[in-house]
Amino acid sequence: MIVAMKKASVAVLAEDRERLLESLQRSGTLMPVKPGENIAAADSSDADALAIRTEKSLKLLERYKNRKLVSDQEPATVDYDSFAIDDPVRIELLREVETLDETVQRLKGEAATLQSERAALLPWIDLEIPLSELGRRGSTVVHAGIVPPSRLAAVESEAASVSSETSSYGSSPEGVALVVAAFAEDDAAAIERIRAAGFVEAALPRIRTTAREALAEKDERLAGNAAALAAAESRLSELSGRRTPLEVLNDRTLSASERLRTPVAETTSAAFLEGWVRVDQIDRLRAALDRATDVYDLELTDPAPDETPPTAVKNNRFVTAFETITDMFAKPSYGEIDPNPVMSIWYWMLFGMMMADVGYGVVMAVLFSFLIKKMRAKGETLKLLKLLLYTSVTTIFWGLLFNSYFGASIGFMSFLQILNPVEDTMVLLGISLFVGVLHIFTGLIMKAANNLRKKDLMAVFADSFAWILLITGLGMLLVPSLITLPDGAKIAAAGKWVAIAGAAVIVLFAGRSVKNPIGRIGSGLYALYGVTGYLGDIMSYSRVLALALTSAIIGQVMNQLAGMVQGVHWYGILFAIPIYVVGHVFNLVMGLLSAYVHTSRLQFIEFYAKFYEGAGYEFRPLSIQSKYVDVRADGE
Amino acid sequence: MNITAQALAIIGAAMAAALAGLGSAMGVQMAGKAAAGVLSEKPELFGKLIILQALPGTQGMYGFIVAILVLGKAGALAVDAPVAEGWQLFFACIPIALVGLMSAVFQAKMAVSAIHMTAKQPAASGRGITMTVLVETYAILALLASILLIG
Repeated sequence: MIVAMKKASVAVLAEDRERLLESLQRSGTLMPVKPGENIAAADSSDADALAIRTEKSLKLLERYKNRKLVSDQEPATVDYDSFAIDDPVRIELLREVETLDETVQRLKGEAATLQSERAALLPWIDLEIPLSELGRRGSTVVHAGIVPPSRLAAVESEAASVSSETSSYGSSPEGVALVVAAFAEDDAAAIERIRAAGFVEAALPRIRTTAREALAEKDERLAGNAAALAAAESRLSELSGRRTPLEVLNDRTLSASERLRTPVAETTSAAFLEGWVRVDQIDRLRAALDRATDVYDLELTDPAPDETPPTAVKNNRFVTAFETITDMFAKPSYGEIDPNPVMSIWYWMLFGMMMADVGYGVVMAVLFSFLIKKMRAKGETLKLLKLLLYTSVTTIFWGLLFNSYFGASIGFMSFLQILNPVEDTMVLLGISLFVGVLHIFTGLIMKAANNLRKKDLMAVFADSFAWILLITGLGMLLVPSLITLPDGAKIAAAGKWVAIAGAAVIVLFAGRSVKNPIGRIGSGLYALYGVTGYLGDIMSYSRVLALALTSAIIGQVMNQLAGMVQGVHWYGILFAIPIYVVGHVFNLVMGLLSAYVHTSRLQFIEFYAKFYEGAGYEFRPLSIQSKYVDVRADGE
Repeated sequence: MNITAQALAIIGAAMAAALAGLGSAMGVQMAGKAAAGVLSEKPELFGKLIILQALPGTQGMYGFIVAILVLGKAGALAVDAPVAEGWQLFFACIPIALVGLMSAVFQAKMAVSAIHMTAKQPAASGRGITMTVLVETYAILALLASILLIG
């Protein structure tokens, strides 16, 4: 059902504003609305910036998480009082993580630089002279450079031809390290020719040590760097194990930002807040106000005709699971009947009809109860898992009726069997379409109920009842011509008049909003044309047959394939088992997917189109943002 | 040499499985490419996108079912069955073969749009799925037509 709402107007002393907001947030009972046009919310950018910083640090810690700790998975629980205190430990932890992050980044950058410097020096490790003495030495100029291996011979012969001496050292990925010594007087011309032959001069650091010594120093610094990096990272993974204060800080900051963004009108002495409250939570709202201050004024009013309150639905445990289907389509409008209870029963049945296998139903029951326990899912995911768990019941139910156990039939269970989908295809088609007619009638009855609520009896009669008459009549007319029934002719004759009665009501009353009598009949005739839409809708339920048949045939084919292997020899069973498992897992997964989307489609297009308005928006009260931690709000 | 009824039925079954399967393979590939692009930015949408990617995959299964049903019928045909019976089974395969091939590709185009919509607005994935499922209606009608024609 849809919970009734009241508009709450709260006035407190200006100095109590923050206490009021905190208390309201803790209780999570009020969805604030702007009290006037010109009320700007406070600036939340500082809180938002802090939230982004904590989020970033938490993501960083996530990377250093010790995966072996299973307890890590569970969200931490903190009680409200410690959540509310501004504990400096949290911001210190944030700073430490940020500093460590910077350190890690810096060390990694330095290590990369050292590595590339090291790589540049490595070919010269055997060069005996200090690197600063390259260049002019007395009457010669010494050049250090790299030559691609393919050009080495050319460079050496070119050097010999200009009477320069060469000696080669180690090699780097670019080529061979080569030292060229030329006479100082014709160095410029000589080196020009050697360069043209493929010599590339290396930019070596001008240091007073040899390359070997420089390399040793680089290695030492790299080792120091690696040790510092390991220390920083081990500190990070240690912090990752106790990151709860940071998670609390994040949720606290998000909550603070939420409070800041709450529109509050303020004068010099008073603060004024307006919002929606569920009628079943008014006492909790009062308790929250009492906790905040002694001096307040609370005024509760019913929604004005021009106001649209938010939608909150409250249902039993079974129906709640199916709310996720409706919410995927649209939230119910505040003023209409909650479609979830009726829809849930239909979803449950149709889903089972499409799956229809005892074995798959049992697997679903085991699998989804296990997942619900194991995943500790919340919110929409939990609802979906529960929905799949509940539909395992109808899957087993229809599986019994079709005598289908992992695609095979069991002889002694055949007393429950009503039909075989593969052989009695036409019968199952008939059943599917009949179920579709009942589903559509339910939609028309829901429409009537909504119109009854608006006291529009004419609409109940002309827009719901007449269509039920017409479709029933057409069915009575048509069915006896397809299957032989006792008194089929009489049924058909009666059906003709039922259909005519329904059609007459539609023609006469569907256009009742049109004043002009001719126009009214014309628009009634046009409404009658809508019968083609109804026929299309009914045919759409043939997908129930199609999916039941698909699931049955693929299951049987898998069994046949496995059976072929199994029959070869006594050890064939070893090869057959993987085929059974993979085949049925595939069929189960595809079947679940198809049943989920096609049942949803039948609800949205065929069922909801008849009555559902779905123009609501969610009731989202000001509440504690528990993204990482569960806040235990004691006394709530 | 005259073609036998059985041979005609088998050609039909092969076409149903091959063409519908081809359509689904193309469709799942198209939707998968779009989904992979979105997942590189938003890996948390995997659960929603995998449904959209799988939707154009059902046509292949429908073609497969028709192939199995037709092969069952073909096996039961007498060796000297009239060729007309073979033609009946052959043409029974046409709806799912052709509609399966084309509708899987068209559905994939719709799925790609729905995937992009989900990337921008994850809350709207249900609507995207519904709109994509609408395309499949015609594949289901073709499947039924094929099954009814097999008789």
